[in-house]
Amino acid sequence: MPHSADEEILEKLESVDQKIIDAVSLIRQQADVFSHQGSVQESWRSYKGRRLGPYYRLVYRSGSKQRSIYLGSDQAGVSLVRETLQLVQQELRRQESISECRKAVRSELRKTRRQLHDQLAAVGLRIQGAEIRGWQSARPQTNVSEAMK
Amino acid sequence: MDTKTNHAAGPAAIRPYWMPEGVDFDSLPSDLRTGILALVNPAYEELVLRAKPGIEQSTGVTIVQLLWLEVLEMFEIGRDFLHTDSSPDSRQERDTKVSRLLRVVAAKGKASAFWVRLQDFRERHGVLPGGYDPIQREFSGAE
Repeated sequence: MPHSADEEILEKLESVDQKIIDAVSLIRQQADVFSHQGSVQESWRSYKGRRLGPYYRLVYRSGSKQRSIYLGSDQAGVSLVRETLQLVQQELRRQESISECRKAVRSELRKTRRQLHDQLAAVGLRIQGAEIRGWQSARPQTNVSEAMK
Repeated sequence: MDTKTNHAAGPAAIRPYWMPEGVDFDSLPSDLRTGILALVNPAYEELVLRAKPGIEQSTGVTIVQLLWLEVLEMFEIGRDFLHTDSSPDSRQERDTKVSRLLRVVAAKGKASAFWVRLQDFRERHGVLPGGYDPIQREFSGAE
């Protein structure tokens, strides 16, 4: 975790509920688990016809089991849990954005190659492996009879 | 994922107009965005914007896209050397990335050689491949 952001979270922990402290500690201790999963989810309850909430839970998977930790409704505490998750998932997001970028560039490259292939074929050139062949036939014709062929 | 905010992205850079739709430029790490702008932008201007439409321009676009891939691969490899351990798995992953980079560099080399040959062809014959001699030039779609 980046040092300054981590310290900031530790400072904020002094003023929040024990549930939040436990959740943040869990995420920090099991960073390898939370680096690629885990989220904060909100839910609502109804009591005597009234809708109450939102209440928040930290949801994650441990082995084959789905687990959740109740966080309560304190927005400041929930934000702290979200920030901690974000920090440990930052590396994953970075990898995902680069991977998406690579996919997009490769897809564009395939389109360009197809287009180039057609343009080369139109002038008698061809792609053979990574080489361009057929330069003889691509030479400009030097007299009218050749041009009319 | 809890939120879409990306702290790794850093301050916003101007998205290049040639960037394809599928790329979320703002979500890329700021140093990578800087690299793309510093290396790929000038290449795009020289090899694509100043090229003649057709073979020359498509070759230019190919080189630019390969350069872009090269920047991505180099960024990943550079980061790996700083942040990963020396376990066999990590080493193997790094080797795979280095091989991928070398393939991209080789392909870019071939595309660049073709670009040079196109320029040479034009210097010799006055037209790009597929063109006719100066008397017949009005029939040519290449010049």
